[in-house]
Amino acid sequence: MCTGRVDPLFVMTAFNNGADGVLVAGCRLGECKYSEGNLEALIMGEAVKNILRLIGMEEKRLRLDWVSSSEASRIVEIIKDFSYTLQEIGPLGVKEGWSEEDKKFYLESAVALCNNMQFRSAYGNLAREIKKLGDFSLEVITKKVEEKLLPSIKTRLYEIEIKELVKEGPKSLDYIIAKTKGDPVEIEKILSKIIKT
Amino acid sequence: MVEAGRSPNIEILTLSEVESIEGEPGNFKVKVKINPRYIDPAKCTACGDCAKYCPRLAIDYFNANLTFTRSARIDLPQAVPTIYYIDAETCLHLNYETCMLCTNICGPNAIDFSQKPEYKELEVGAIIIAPGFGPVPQEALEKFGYGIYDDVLTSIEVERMTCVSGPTEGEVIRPSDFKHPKKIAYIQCVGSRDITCDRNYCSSVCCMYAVKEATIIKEHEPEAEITLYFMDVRTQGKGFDEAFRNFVEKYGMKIVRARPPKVEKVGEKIALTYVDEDGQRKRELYDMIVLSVGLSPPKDAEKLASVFGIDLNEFRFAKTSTLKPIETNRPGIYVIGAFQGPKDIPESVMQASGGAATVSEILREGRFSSYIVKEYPPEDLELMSGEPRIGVFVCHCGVNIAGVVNVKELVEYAKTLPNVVHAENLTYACAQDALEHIKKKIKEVKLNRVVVSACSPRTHEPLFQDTVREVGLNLALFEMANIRDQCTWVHADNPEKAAEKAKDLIRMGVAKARRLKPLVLQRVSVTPTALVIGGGVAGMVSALSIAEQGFQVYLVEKEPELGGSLKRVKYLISGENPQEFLKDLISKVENHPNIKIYKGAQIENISGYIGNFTTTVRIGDTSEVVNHGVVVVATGGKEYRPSKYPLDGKKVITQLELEERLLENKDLDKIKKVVMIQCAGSRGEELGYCSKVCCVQALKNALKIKEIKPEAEVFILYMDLRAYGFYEKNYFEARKKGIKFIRFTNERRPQVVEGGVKVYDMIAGEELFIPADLVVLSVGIVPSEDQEAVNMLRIPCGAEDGFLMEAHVKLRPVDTATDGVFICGLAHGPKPLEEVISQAKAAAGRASIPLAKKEVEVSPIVAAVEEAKCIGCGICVELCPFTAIELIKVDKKRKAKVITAACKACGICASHCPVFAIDLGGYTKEAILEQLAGFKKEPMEKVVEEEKVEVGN
Repeated sequence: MCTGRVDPLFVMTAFNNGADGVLVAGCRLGECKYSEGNLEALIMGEAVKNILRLIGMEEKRLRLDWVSSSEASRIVEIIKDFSYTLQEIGPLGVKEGWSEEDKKFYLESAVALCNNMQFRSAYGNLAREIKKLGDFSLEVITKKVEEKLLPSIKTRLYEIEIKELVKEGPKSLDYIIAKTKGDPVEIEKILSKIIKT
Repeated sequence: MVEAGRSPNIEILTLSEVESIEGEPGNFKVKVKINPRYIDPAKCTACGDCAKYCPRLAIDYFNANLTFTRSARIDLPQAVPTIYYIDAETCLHLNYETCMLCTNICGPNAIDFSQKPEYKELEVGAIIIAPGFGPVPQEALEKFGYGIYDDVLTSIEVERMTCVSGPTEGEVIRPSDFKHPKKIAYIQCVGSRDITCDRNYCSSVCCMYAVKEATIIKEHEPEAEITLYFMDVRTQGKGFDEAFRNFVEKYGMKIVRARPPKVEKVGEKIALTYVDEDGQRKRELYDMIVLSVGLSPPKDAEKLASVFGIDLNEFRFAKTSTLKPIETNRPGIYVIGAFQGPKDIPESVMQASGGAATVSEILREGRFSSYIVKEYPPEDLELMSGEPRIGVFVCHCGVNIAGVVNVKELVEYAKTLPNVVHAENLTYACAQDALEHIKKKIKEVKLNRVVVSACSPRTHEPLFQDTVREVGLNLALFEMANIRDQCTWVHADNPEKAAEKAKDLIRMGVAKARRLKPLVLQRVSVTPTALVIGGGVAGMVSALSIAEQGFQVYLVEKEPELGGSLKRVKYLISGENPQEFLKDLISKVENHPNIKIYKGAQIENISGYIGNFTTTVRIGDTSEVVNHGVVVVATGGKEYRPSKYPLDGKKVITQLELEERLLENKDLDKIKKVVMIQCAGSRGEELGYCSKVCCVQALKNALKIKEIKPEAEVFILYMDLRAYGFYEKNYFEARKKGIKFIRFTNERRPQVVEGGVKVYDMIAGEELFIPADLVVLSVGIVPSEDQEAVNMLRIPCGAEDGFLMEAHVKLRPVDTATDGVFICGLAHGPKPLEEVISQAKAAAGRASIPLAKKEVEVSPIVAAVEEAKCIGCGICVELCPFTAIELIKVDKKRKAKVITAACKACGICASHCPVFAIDLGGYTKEAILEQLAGFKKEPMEKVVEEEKVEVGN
């Protein structure tokens, strides 16, 4: 399976199902059998890292690496190195300071985000824009994800989180801000929009 | 390699030698000696136990003798066939009748010391020889201290070292003290461009590979200082100059133009003494010296020549000509690759496809007469329907798996998983009897999903897929859990955890298997005709070959006449006559019953996909619609006219203009002093790239002037004289005849002034004025302006140079990203005539594959759109790298539709669909999420939904 097939949903689902780390490994950049699959995966990686950051998860739990099929010892090195990194970070939730309930809340919210049509549209459009630019350098990807995708990630993720938080009854704004870790102004805006509808 | 290994129509005889050949084209008898492998290929499972236990060390030739291997071995994990062999030269049993450890250890009893050489007589219609190149002679290496000083290495040795799976696992170390060298020098042209060792030719590939290798060293060792010693930098391949510049700049490599004559040891270092371009004598110390060795003819070239009855050229390579680049002197025997002359990978691949085309021409009548197509029974739809009934087979792989984990325990565990109705262990799941057993169980227990937990799908998935197909299961209903390579091999020291992981892997495999859906094995029929765009040499050679292979060709030329750029080339440096060749080619094309020519014609519209294209050709006021299965684009190129030079057609002319004059003996008496300027407008002046042909063109014309008027004085001003391959001898001849060569740099280019040329001479350190009555510019080549067809076919072009882009620079030089569309000739990039001919033949060879098969097999793994869900946003259409998705109107709504024949299954569309309306067969969202759910240790629920299967093969 090409890394271009890897959906942000798959990565978040793996975390939600108990993975402490996810490694996406593909052909060396520039050597993709499908010409652009691993380049698209670069964008995917950057998008997911932004999600991880927002829910307060250690970014290093997701790693992207590129190895040719003849480089057996390189993949061994990568996997070893990643294992050590994960051992250092510890099981998912510990370093993040999450209770079991928090873990469920954040991961399920992130999975819901990856299923969200608006987020996915923004994600698809971003990939389309970068492809048109023809520049898959990390600088461009990072910049574009921040400019074009991050606002959408924030809005949708907070929306999902707030809805989940108020599902069982009203909660204080402070509580919601503390949980979502979002910018108070932004959260308030989203909250009032939710209340209206 | 793998594809060739799997084809039922390619019989691979390894360890074999051709002893004799008799007969003629269409009817050769070839006697082959097959040396014993001492391992039965039918039984070997490539588990590697023989090599693990073999006590006999042997030198590892594959790793350039830098390490040891064992007598029982496989040279590299990707070897085809993936079967071990016993090296008769070192084996203890074969030499001393002792040991036989491997016989005892081999689980499937594959070791067979009773094997004797076998003789086989093959009946074939045509022969292609591709023995590759040989090593450079020892004396060429010794001159530079190889074999005398430990730290002088060959580039092949360093290549193996930089390989992460090589002898040093990617570490570059110097042999004398195993330390990382900090200062490294590359010496170019070792065993090339050297008359003292009979190698008066250029190996063509070393300049580029040296820089590539140096780059890899820098990636491993950023501290290392690397200097490369060149005579000329011959990076004339497509995109090479740019890559060279980038590497040198990015990694700060030092380029010196000198050939160090002296290599000596000083303390722990190696000293190089040389004279630089300014005429200064210099001496530098290095930790390590790398010799960029050239490509020599095979060691046994004379023997090959006598067995095959072919001639060798003066350098002991197979003799061919510019106009027939892959034909030997013996009809029906063709030569491709480095034995025909030193060359890089893309040129080798072009010759390979060109050779296939030529063979397909002469054997067209017998085509498919002994073709094997494996037949399978129809799919058992009843069996495949209903709830998943999974069978799990756990392989021992001898001790490879069973030696670490308790296989029985895994079987018991598998039985507890939902939907698993059968589980058992097998000693070697891939052995013939085990495969039969799996088939029996599928029928007996009515298994509709099979999970084999064993080794890697990389090596064994096709075999098991084949097995389940033989009893009517769709190949997609098979899943592998890799509990050997990714579990017991890497966790042999921790059996408990390994067992736990093996269970996880089996559980995930079973989880995914529950959601596997059959895939449709589709075939798309092919209109057996070709459209060739461009009636120059490339287009005509391609059209003629396709026509000769038995298919209808439509050849479209925009000009009123055929011929293209070659019309202006009057003679060749080889002495062959291009105009006669062209006349003959045009007449063959015009008189061929299978070729329909449209002259003065334009492509108005092209639509469709592989097998089914429709094109409108406009000829003046009329237009015609043709249907065709493939397209060959050969739209050519043209001479570039640089703006910085006072080209006037009189005193300042181009090489092509000169050629005309020389042939027509026009104004020859006026030619007394001629100055040729290379790279006029190229390589960083106006065009960024090298046009590959101009150096040889200059040599050709300079020699012609000397031939007509020996007293004339000819200067060639150049940056790097790129007389690559056998053209080196012409360069040598030119110097012998007194043609003067002066080098300039990109920073200080020569200037055409009144009465002559000003050029900076580096040795004198001052600007020279060379009086001239004729200045000849070697100008570059640019793609032709007619890009309509290219745009309609959406063939990507190079951003800098505008030449058509191939699907893969090295491995697929005539294919494009779109199936069924092929490219050749100058439209793809500047290249000399023999390469144009090879490439045109290659395009014909590639294009004829679908035409001959009459249908293309669509990979069963393709994307599909669920129309009801699709919102018509078009993201997938634009992201698809293969233009395999289009937007169509369904009830006035935009919907995406996959052109399955063009889909390559990358899955980018699926991972970017906002509403999950598009999914990838074999890697569906559902199956992958299920597999991820299997990662949870919690018990899974049984899948009970009734599923009706309606597809079949």
